[in-house]
Amino acid sequence: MSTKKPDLIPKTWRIPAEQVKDAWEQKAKQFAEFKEYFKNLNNQ
Amino acid sequence: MASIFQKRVVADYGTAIVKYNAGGWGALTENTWDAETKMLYLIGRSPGGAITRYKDTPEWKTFLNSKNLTEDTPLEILSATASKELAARVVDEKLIERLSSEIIAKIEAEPGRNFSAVRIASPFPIDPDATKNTFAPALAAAVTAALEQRLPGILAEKGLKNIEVIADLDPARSSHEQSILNIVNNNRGKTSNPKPGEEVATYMQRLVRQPVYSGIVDENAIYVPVDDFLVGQSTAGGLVNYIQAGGAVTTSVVAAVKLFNGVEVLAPQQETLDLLKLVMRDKAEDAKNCHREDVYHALLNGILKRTGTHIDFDDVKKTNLPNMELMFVAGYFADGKNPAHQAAFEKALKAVGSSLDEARGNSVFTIFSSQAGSFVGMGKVFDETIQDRKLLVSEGDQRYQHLVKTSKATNYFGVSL
Repeated sequence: MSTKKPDLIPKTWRIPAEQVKDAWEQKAKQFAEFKEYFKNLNNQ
Repeated sequence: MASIFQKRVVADYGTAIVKYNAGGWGALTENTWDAETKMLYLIGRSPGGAITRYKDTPEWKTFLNSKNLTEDTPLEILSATASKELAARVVDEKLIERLSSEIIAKIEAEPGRNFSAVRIASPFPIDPDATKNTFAPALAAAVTAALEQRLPGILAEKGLKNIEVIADLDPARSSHEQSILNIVNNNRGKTSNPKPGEEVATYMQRLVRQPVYSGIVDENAIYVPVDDFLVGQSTAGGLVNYIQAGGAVTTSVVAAVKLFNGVEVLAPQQETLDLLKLVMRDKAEDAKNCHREDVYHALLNGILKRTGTHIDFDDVKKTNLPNMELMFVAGYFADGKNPAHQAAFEKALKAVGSSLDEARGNSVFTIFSSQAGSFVGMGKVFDETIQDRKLLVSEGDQRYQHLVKTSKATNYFGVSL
C-alpha cells in the first residue's frame, strides 16, 4: 500500500469530510445489498 | 531546455468496455441505448423525475408488470429494482470475458510482479444530490460478484495463481478513507438533471475543473475502474491517471453507457495538467485583457515556452502539445466574448479534431462547439472561473511539491518554473 497522500486540495473545493463519509457509507450499504443479490443471481 | 512532454509517462487508458452507445450530438452513427434500458438507467439515477417522464409509456408498464411492482411502490425500491435489472443486463458473458482477458494480459505482461488483488474502483459522485443514484453501486456490485465467481476458474485455466477481488465500496473490505473517491465532484458542475435554479455545466467547465481524487492506491493491485455513463470522460480518465500515478495498473474502464469512444482522447494527463497550471499562474487576467489575436497567441506561447512546448497557430497540426492538453490550454484561457480567444480556441479544436480519426474528431468538435460548450457559454465560464483557475494553480503547485518530495519530479527536470 502506498502512504496516504497529503492534503493537496484547496479548502474551498474540499467537500467536508463528514459529508464524504456519510455519502460513502450510504453507497457502501447499497453496494452490499446489491452484491448479495448478484451473488445469489449468479448462483442460480 | 528539455521538453517535459518528451519524458512524461502517459497513462494507459485502454478502450472502454461498454454495453450501450448513447449516440446523440452526431457523436455516433449507431445508437444502441434503447428506450427501455434508458428508462431503467434514469429510474435508478433519479426515480422521482423518471417516473413523471415515463408513467404513461408502455415500457413503464412492462417494467412494473415484469417485476410485480405497482405505481405505489416506494421510490427507493423502484430505483434499486431498475438498477439491478440494468446492471444484470450490462454485466453479461461478453463483458466478463473481455474484462478477464484484460486482467490476464496485465498479469502476463509483468510476470515478476506479485499482484495480490483485483480492486473495483468507482468514481461515483460524492455530492448529496447524487445519493439517489443506485445504478453506480449496482454496477460495481454486479462486476464484483461476477469476477468473484468467474475469475478463480479463468485464472486456474491459464495456470495462474488466484487473486482476490476487492471492491472499494465493500463495507466489509474497505472504508471511505481507503476508497478512491472524487472529492471535488460537486464543484465541477452537473451536465444533466439540474435542480430548479441550477444551471447545467458546460463541457468547458468540466474541462477546466478537473476531478481531484483522494484515497489509497494499492500498488500491488490491478484496478478495474467502473463508471456508469461516459460522456466527456474526464472523470474516468482522471481516475485512471490517479491510480496509475499511484503505482498500480488498471484495466480499461467498465461502463454501462458511452456517448462515444474516447477516454484516451478526452482525458488529459494529470501530471501534464499540473505543470500547465503552474506555468500559467497568474496569467488568466493578462489573457482576459488581450484582444488582439496575434498578441494572444504570443501570450500563450510565452507561457508554454517554459514547458518546452508551443502551439503553432498558423499550422496547428504542427503543435507539439498532445491533443487534450492543447484543448486545456485553449479552454483555460478562452473568453467566449473575445473574438481573439474564440479564434484561438477554434483553431485548437480543429487541431484536436484533425489529429484523430474522423469519428472521434467529429465527436470532440461536436461536444465542445455545440450548445454544451458554445462560445457564449465559454464567456460565462471564463468570468466565473478566474478564481477557480487560481485555485487550480494552487492545487497544481502543491501536487508539484509533493512530486518533488516523493522523487517523482524527475520528469520535470530542466523546466523553469
